[in-house]
Formats: sequence, C-alpha cells, structure tokens
Amino acid sequence: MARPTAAERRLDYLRIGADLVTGFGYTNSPGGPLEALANVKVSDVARHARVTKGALYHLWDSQDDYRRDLLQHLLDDVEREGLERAEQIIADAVDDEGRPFTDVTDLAVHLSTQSYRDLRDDPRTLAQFSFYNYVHDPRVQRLLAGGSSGFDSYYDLYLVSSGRRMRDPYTVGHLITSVNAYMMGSVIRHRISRGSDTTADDAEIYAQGFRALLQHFTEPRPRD
Amino acid sequence: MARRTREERRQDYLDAGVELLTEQAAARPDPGLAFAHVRVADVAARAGVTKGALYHLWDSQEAYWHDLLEFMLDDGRLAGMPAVADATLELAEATDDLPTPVEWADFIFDRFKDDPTFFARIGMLSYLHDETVNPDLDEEFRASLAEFESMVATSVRELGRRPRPGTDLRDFSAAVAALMHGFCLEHRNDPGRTADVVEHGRPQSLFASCVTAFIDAFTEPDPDADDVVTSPDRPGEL
Repeated sequence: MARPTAAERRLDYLRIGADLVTGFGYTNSPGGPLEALANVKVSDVARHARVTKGALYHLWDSQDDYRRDLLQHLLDDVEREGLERAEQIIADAVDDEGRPFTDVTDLAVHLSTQSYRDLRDDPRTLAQFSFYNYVHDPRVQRLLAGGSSGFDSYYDLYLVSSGRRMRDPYTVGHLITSVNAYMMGSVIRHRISRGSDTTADDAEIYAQGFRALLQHFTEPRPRD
Repeated sequence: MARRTREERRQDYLDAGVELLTEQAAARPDPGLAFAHVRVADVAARAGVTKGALYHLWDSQEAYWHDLLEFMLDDGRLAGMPAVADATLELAEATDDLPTPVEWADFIFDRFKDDPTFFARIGMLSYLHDETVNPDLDEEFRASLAEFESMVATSVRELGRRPRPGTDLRDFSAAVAALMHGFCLEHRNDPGRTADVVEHGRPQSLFASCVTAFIDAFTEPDPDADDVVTSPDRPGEL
C-alpha cells in the first residue's frame, strides 16, 4: 500500500481531533471529557492515530496551530454538510398536507427550522463553543466571525423570489446577524433544557421567531 | 490564628478560582471557555499555597472544575437568566412607568453584552455532556425562566396585548431569552454586527428590533384591554 501523502495524513489527524472534541473519543481519553473538550492535545491525537507526536509536529508548528486548523475543519465540515442538506431540504420540501410550498416565506421558514433541528443535535455545534477559548487569536476570531457565510446568499435569493425587500433602515446584514443570534441562542437553550421547559417543541418556537424576523425586517416590494 | 479548617480552605480555593475565572473572562476578547484556563496550579499560586494543598482536597483538575462550577451555581455568581430577571426588576423600580419593550431590550443588552460572568457561563456549555452538571443548569434555567415569564406577563398586559392562539408566554419568554444569549455572543464575536439602528428617528439596539418583532409574532392586541398604552409598530404583513 502506498504511504499516505502529507495531505491525507493531515486530514486523518484532523478527523481524529474532531472525534475527540465532539465526544466520540471520550472513553479513551485519560483526562476525561472535560479535558478533551477544553484542550484537545496533539499528544492525544497522536495516541489515537498510533503515531508519535513528532508526526503531527511535522505538519503543525504548535498545538495552537493544530487547534486552529481543527476549528477550520469543523466549521468547513458543518457548512459543507449544511449546504448539501439545504439543497436536499428544498428539493424534498412539502407542507403539512404533503404538497409543495407555494409561499416562498413558508419555504424559508421550513428550511431554517430544519437546519435548526440538525444543528441543535450536532455535537460539532457544541464543540464550536469550546473554541471561543482561542478567540484572543485574531485568526481564530476571523474563523468564528466568518461563521456559516455560505448561507448568506440564501437571503438574497429569498428577497428576489418572494418579491420582498429590506425595510428601511435594515440591511440583509442585520437580518443575518439576528437570525444567527437567534439560532445560536436557541441551540444553547436546547442544550440546557432539551426543550422541556416549554409546552411547544422548541423547533416550533424557533420557526415562529424566524418568521417574525423575516416579517419585521422586510416588506413587500412596491409594484411598478 | 487557628489553622483554617478543611472546609474553610476549600472555600478559599474556590473563591480564588472564581476570581481567576472572572479576570480571565474580562481579559480575553472572547473568554468563552475561560473556565478551562483556571488551572489548579494557577489557583494555588493565587491562594499562596502549593499545588499539593489543592490536590489534597481534589483528586484532579476535573474534580476541581466540577466543584468550582457547582460553587458558582449555588452562589449565584454567574450571570444568566436569574441576573436578567433581577436587572429587569431593577429597571422597573428605577422608572415611574413600566419600561417599554425597546427600553427594556436596550437596557438588558447594554448590561450583559460585555459582562464577563455572562460569558463564563456560556463557556460552561462545553460541560453539558457531563451528567452531574446539566441538571444544575437545567433547574436554574427553568426557575428563572418562570420568573421572567411573570414579568413578561405584566408587560404584555400593560401593552394591551395577549398571547396569540396556539402560543403562550412561556414560549415567548424562551424565544426572547434565546435571542438575548445569541446576541451577546454575536456582539462578542464582532461588535460591529450588533451596532444600533435608527428606528422611528431614535437609535436602538438591533436586539430591541428583534424583541419588537417577537412581540408582534407571539402576541396580538387584546380586545378586552381597557387601555391600550402602545402597540409595537407593524410593518407590512406577509
């Protein structure tokens, strides 16, 4: 068998790190889950990969460099899967009666709510919070602030196809920030209570709030 | 002076941990997991003792973190929903009239957007896998949400509104709480994103705009209200 290339090994080591911080590697981690989440270590990754630490330090200069790459890897992964899922959700979308959506806003609410359902149970969403540790590093801050910008084009698409426009003084940026904040905050709430603190399913509450934001920040485009 | 008891020492070392945690959270642009920086060695140095003195009381770094977390929860030192509920009361007492939703939202966002303890708390989410930690957080969150809901009920009544059919004020309160947590994180990531907007000729926080949107979506005018004080603005219907 051919020896894996540096790029292949790099990806292997990042996948192992991702497993460690998302909880799948806990049982083998001597420091326990707290340590694994708080500070994924090059030495742990090396042990799981059955290689020496040197093999990893050959690819990364420092532990922080490795962690930064790991964050990038996690964010890219979540975004790529999210975008693929979005295509699928739109293709499969049917309303409660099993008919395709005729209303673009209903479709947007459906898409965002499905994304929320995926995110709230994804261990990588939680792992992302643990990386807030490293935001004193401007490169990490850029990564986190970039977020899932792959979704931003959906907002423009929504405005075009719904015949609506942003309402003065609001911009698409305001809407994106607000929806991201609401989604992240809802995930946090879900992590704590699993939604058991309200009578309605928290995805239903998310949907209602998301629709409210769309409604508040946009208005029908006047007909010429 | 008599030698401090085991329990007193435990208390001292936990106090030192809280101090360190709060400093860490304040010093870092984004402290998220400042918790992880509170190492036994640092706590020992702060308390002027050897690491051994702490390892005498706790078996491991993780055992110390567990205790520190519970200590902070018990002690109400972490700003979370209870602090939001307290701040809301404080605002209500400081003004003659009940604050408008926008006034409330601006006040709350301003209070918590840079509060290090609020972020220290968010950082603890990473520990939620932990069976011993989650029930504590859950219970605290639940209790304070109930308290918050009763304040929301007063406000909504004062606005001459009532919950829309199929929704209730608990859902609405939970949505506003989620929004607030998320906005503080967004602000931490990039303050430029949460800059004020000018609505009706007056600057207000983007968070306040969202709260207005939620009032509109979760509540409706109550036809039985005696006195409709104000109604949130109502942009184009979808």
